[in-house]
This record gives sequence, C-alpha cells and structure tokens, in this order.
Amino acid sequence: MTNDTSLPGLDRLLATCEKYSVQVNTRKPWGGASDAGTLLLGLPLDPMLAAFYSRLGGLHLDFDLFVEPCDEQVNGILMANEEVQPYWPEPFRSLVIFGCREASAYRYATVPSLADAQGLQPVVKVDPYEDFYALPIASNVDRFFDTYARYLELVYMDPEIREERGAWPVFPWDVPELIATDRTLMRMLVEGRFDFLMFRQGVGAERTHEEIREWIAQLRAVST
Amino acid sequence: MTRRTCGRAVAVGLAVLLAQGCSTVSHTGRSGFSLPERASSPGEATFVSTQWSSSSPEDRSEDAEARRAEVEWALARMWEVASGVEQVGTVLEFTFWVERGAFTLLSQHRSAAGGEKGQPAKAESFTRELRGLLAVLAETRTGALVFTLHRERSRWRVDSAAASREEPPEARKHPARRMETTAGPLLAVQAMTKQVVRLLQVPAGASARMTVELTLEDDRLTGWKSGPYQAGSGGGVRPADGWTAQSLTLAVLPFTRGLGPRTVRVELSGTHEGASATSHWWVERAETLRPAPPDEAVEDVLREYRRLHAEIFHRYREEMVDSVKLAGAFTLEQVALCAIGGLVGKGLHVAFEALAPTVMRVVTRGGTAGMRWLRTQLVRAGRKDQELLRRLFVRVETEGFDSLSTAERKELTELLRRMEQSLTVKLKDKPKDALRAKAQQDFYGIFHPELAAVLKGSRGERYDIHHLIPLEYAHLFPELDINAAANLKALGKPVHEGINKLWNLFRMEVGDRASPEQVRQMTAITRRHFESWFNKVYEPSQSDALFQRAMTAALDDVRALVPK
Repeated sequence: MTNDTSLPGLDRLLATCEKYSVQVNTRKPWGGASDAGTLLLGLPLDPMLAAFYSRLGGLHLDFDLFVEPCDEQVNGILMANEEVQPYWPEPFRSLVIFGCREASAYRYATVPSLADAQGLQPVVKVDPYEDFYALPIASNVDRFFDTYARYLELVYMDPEIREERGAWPVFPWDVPELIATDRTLMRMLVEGRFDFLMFRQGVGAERTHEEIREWIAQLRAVST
Repeated sequence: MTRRTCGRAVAVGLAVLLAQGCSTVSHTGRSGFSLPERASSPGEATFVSTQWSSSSPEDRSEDAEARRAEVEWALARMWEVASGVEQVGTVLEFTFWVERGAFTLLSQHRSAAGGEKGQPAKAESFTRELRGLLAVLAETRTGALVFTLHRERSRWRVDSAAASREEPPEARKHPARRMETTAGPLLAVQAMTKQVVRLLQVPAGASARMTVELTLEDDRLTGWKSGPYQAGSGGGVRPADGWTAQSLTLAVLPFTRGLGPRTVRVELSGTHEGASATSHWWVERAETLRPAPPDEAVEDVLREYRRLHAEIFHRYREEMVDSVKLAGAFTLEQVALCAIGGLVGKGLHVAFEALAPTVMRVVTRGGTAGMRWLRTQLVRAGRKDQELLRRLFVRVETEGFDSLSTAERKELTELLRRMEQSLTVKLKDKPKDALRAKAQQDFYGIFHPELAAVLKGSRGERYDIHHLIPLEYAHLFPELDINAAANLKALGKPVHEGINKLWNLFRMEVGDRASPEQVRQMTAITRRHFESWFNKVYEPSQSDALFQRAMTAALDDVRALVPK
C-alpha cells in the first residue's frame, strides 16, 4: 500500500463538512511525512494513516474531531503519543494515538497489535478518564473517517440536534447502526479481539463492562 | 372643549408622555429562540433568553403593520365601552401596558356620574384624535399608560399620562396583527357571561353590586366565581336587562389578551328605576390581580421564562407556527426554563415535591443556577427524555398544563421520578461523554469565549476541560450542577493528565467508598497544587519543572488523605 492510496472515507468526511458548512481546518501535506510502517516509539505507523498524511497535514473540526497535525513545523502524532507515556498503562501505551475529541482526554488510536495481513490497523476510541478502556470504532483508518462522516450527517441533517451539543448522539455509544456496518470490525469484535482493550480490571470495571456489553448487544442486534 | 382644544390636549399629553421616561424600542424583529452571543457575566449570568436583533425589511414592515393593528385594537376597546355611555360627567379610565407596540389592558374603571344625558358622541372624532398619540407611543414607549376619558355633552375629552409601575407579568411583548378574539376564548367568555347575568338582580327601586373573579391563563378563561353580592332594600327583584351580557363581555374580552396565569376581578353595579321589568348593570371596574411575587431566588428565571413564553405564545397564536415545529426550536436551556416556569411559575411544583423532592428543591431555590442544574440533568438523561420534556412543555406553553392528557401527565411524573432516582446513582460512561461534550462547548462558547483562541496547545488543539469535582463523583453531590462554570477549568494536556493520575490514585485506594468530604479534600488538593495553571497558558519551558514539583507534593497529599 502506498501513501497515495485512495481514501473514500476521508473524501466523504470532507464532502460532509462542506455540505453542512461544518467549520473544518486542514493543513497542507508535508513531503517529509512518514511512510507506512515507519516506527513511532517502536510502533508501526498505519498505512492508511500514512496515506492520510500524504494528503493532509492535519484535520480539525471545531470542538470535535482533531486529527494530529504532521508537517514540517510540528510532529503532532509523535507528541501526542509521547505525552501520554508517563500516564497511560499498558496495553494503551502500545496504541498509536492519531487524534482526539478536542478539549477532552478522549483519544482516537490505531491498534498495531491487531493489524491485518496488509498492515491495516483498526481504530479505537480510548477513554482514559477513570478505568482505562477503549471501544472499537472501525476496522481501518479510512473506515473511521467514513463512519465519522455518517455520524456528522446524522447530527447536521437534523436542525433540532445540530444546534444543541447536549442533544448530539454520543459517539460511538449512540450510533451502533453506523459502527455495525463495518463487517470486518464486527467479526473481530465477535472473535473477542478487542476484549483486552474493553474489559479491564478496575474500580468501576463491572459497571463499565456491563455498559460495554449492552452496547455490543446493540451492535450485534443491528448487524444481523 | 372644542375639537381644536381637544387636539391640543392630546398633543400636550403626547409631549408629557414622551418626557416621562419613554424608552426607545431598539429591536424591531425577532431572530428566533437563540442564545445571546455572550453572557453579561461569564459563568453565572443568565444566558437563556430570546434574542432580538435587527430584522429584515419584510419583518420590519410586518411589525409596523402589527403595531398599527394594536393601536386600532386599543382604540376599538376604549370606544366599545365609551360608546355606550351617555351621561355627561362619566369618567372612564383605562390603564394599558405598552411594550414593543403591544398593548395589554391592565385595568378599566368607570366612575359614577349623575349628570344629564348627553348627545351621541361620534366614533370618528374620538378615534381620530387618539390614534396619532397611540401610534407614537406604540413606536417609542415601554411602560404603563393611563387614558382618562371624560364624557362631555357631545363628545369625549381624553387625558393621558404615564404611570410608574413594575412590568406586569401578563404584559405582552409582541404586537399582533389580529384584532379579533379567537373562537375558543370568545365562546368561553360568552358562556361565563350568560351564567353571570343570571345571578344579577336588583330589588325594585334599589341598587346592587356584585364581584366576579375570573381566572385566566394566556388567552384562556379557565374558571370564574362570583363574589359578594350586595343590594339595597327595595321591592321584588328585577333581572338584568339585555344589554348587561354585552357590556360584561366587552369588558372582559380585552383582558384575554395577556400572558400567564392571573385573575381578573370585575365589579358590577346595577340599578333599577321606575317601572322597568329589568335592572340595568354596568362594569364599574375590571382589573388584573397578579399572583404574589415569587421568591426572589427564582425571580430572575421567571423573568426570563416570561420573555420566552411571550415569544412562544406569539408564534403559536399569532404566527400559527405548529407546536411540533416550536418544540424543535427549543434548546435544552429553554426546555429547562419552560419546565421551571411551567411548574414553579404556576405553583404546580408542589404537586411533585413528594415524588421528586431534590429536583423540586433545586429548581425552586436555585434561580438561574437551578435552571442550569436542570439542563445538566437533561443532558445526562439523554435524547429520549429531552424529547419527551420538550414535547410536554411545548403543549403546556401553548395550551396550558390542563391540556396534558392523563397519559402525558403520567409520562411527566415518570420522567421526574427517573430524574430524582438517577441523582444518587453513579453516572454511566455514555452520559459522562455527553456531559463532557456539553461542558467543553459551554466553557469556550459561553463561560469563557475569550479563552477559545488563547488556550491552545502547540498543535493547535484547545486545552482540555476538566471537572474539578469529577463526573465520577457527581452522585455524591446531587444538588450540584456538575457542569457549572465554577466546576470547569481548562488545562493544558500535561496538567490534565497529571490531575487525572491523582484522581486515579485516589480511586484505586478508596474505590466506591469515597465520601463527599474526601472528594472535596481531593478537589482542594488539585486546586492547591495546580490552580496556577487553571484557565492559563501552560508554557512547557517555564512550567515543566514547577509542574513536576507540584505533582510530587500533590501525590504526597493524596497518599496522606487515603493511606493504604
């Protein structure tokens, strides 16, 4: 896979932002962007993430999705991962953070240990607030952009929701129907391959596990 | 007085009124239910409001048309009463509240007169002379106006003056083009009149008085009761004549053009003379009695609520906007405001106190803070309950609480019960996520918009928003608005990660047994060691060493608070 791989999910996300006039800031791509497989704190850079950075130097939706900038001025992806090293436990330190929900500690990361034969890594949303855990979002980075685009469509096409952040569906909790369309992800989920990120020990683990199990049940219900 | 001198009296009256503190109405249109761009005071200022802004030429034209209609309406109401009075020396007094061109009748009074019967007065001269004055006042004035009409031999002389008084809660704030009363209220008033007239009797050769109290909500007559009846001694009783019903109807109908719950007291006087088989009755006084002023703590919220209600009702009744569409335009703040206004403002909260004591306690004592607390609970409750409350309270706003069906009341009851029960239960992760998103939006959008462009990391990302008392412990503080401005701080990523590490240490040791006091102490530790970075730029080159020292000291404090 090369850095000029097509990214239809990203195209859809950008088109959605344009269609609904969502404020989006992008950076110019940098010729020196890392190639797929380049090691980042010892972890391989996802091929689709590398393809993303060959197209854009970063992407920022105001108070929403923030994809780390990587250009000649700043290596955001490296900084974001270095930043959490002193604080995050394993296995979360072995994820590759590439974005966040702005102004929050929620992070989006790829999972190198779950890469497929082509090296494509699935995407998770990490909740580091209390007991660390992560929810699977997409089977690869471009699929993540596609799902997020569909989520924004859901939000912005409804004027009753659009203007009221407190009424937005919570991503990904409230949109199982979007997550479940990713068959590859669902298969991995059913096989238990994300369990090591979802079902952790901790003070409030039982409550969290129960909530995650309910969500997985919703995913399975809408995917059949 | 000749027509010329009367015209001068009106002109003088206008000058006096304009000098008596007329306020300029700067807004001429409406921009919808929207939040002001910024609260007047960060954090705690009232920010739920209907927002008025400059409007399109079409809107301004429609507004001007509506103001003209309001003037014609006020003129017609005064003339309807005046045209039936022939006795020279009679004085009629009308008090209106005028705001943004909308006239609300507050009271009318007719003083007794025993003068001779005058010649018929002409409507044209009456209205022509008053119209200009009213039109100017509708454009420029906000406040109470008293029009005193003196019956002369062949005409009415009009004096006008501004009256100093607080804005009455029933005051309308949007001029309406509609002149006539809508069918529902008209039929209700006619039905009431019919029944009241049956009670009006005067002993032959004597006089009598009776008071009727009407209860109204918005334009709906919701009930009435007759008050004391007094009559002089005389012969056999004589029923009211055929004019009485019309006279009473005409006196009451203008009072339906008001907002909110209120009572209108009508004092009727009757007399019987000669050999007439009927007695003659007229309305001597009609005035609005307002509920006792609400508790000071909720007055600010109720003032905001009345403003919102005025707009909702105007859109519903005058602009015929569908209630479903109205509900869709509600923000969560407005839903919370309507719930408080709809319950507390009408005294209905008492009925829910046993069911949801905490919810009712907070919303009744907390003023604006109580409204925000309720909004936060709605964010927590999720979209389904938000929609339910939105739907129910649009109905309450447009058709009154009584219009809720038994099933809908049950839905409201269950929702309040759910909300009450959830207050002491640990938050799940999904609502935590929703509350964090709302907190981030509020912090940079409303509480501290000046920081949105300042507090950015080196990659351009805005600083994290941190809850001083974490969402994990919100259930220990059920009356605290966990998303209140005072509980939110912007932190650079290193500081946020550091504080989260402290809390994780705390929770590992204390588990689910944390007490409110321990959580307060933990919050005090984070404040003590990291306050210098709250809502401030974190400059790594200057702060990293200081931050590490603060972390070390804070970790010691946490270990001392929760020894192993």
